[in-house]
Amino acid sequence: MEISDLKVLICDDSLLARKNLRDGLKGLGCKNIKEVFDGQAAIDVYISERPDVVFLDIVMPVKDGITAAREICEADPDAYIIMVSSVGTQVHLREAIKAGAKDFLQKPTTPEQIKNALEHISGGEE
Amino acid sequence: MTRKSIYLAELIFNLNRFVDENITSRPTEIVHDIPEGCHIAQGITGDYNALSAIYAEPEVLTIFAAKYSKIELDHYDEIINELAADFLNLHNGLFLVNLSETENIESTLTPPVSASNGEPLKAYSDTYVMPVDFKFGTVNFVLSEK
Repeated sequence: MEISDLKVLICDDSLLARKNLRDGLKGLGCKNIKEVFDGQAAIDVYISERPDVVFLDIVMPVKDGITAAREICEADPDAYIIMVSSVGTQVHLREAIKAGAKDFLQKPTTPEQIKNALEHISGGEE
Repeated sequence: MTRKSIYLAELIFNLNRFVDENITSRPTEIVHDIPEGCHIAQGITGDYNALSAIYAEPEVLTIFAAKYSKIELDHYDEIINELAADFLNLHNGLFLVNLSETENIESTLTPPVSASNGEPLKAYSDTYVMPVDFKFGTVNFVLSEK
């Protein structure tokens, strides 16, 4: 699958983080992008729309990203979740992987980081 | 180095990196209460516990938010508070990464709040105000340690 064909869900309570991710994804040709603002909304949208990849923040209101990642992966063990957080400590990294996340990006994200992360899903270089 | 000193050093580094290279930090002030008008805050919890906050005059905060976000913003509204909170969240996260790597101290963050109509923020025991001068005005950062 080409990166541009991926169905992407962005979950972050920060409007700037969402904008940066959206701009990066649009720069890679992605057209099918949905945005939500908290972990529970990410779970609900994941279950109803089954995106190919989820960018998930950790520190969020209502439900944090680690809990959301765990619940999404319980519903779908093949879910591809990329955690995106400013708190990229080893402890958070371990918690994210334990919850089922496949990758972890330190904020602020760059277009290059986003591209590299998505190439793992799409199966290599475009 | 004290944790407050590490916080301030990381803050200056992040302000230079993400907002403006032309800044001057003034001496830290020790206060008993969170200053009035300060309502954008984020908690730090874990091995190290503190409340962090940011405040400035609305016009100054608007320019600060515009420079940080690289978005054209010409008037103060709730988005300015969100962007200031976003910087606080980014800086606090990077501070915690630093603290984890250099001091083996593990903490996390609570979601940032902008409680302009809510209860005043409550200080812990040691509260510091760190004023930073930009060409367009002064932005104050608060760290209240538990």
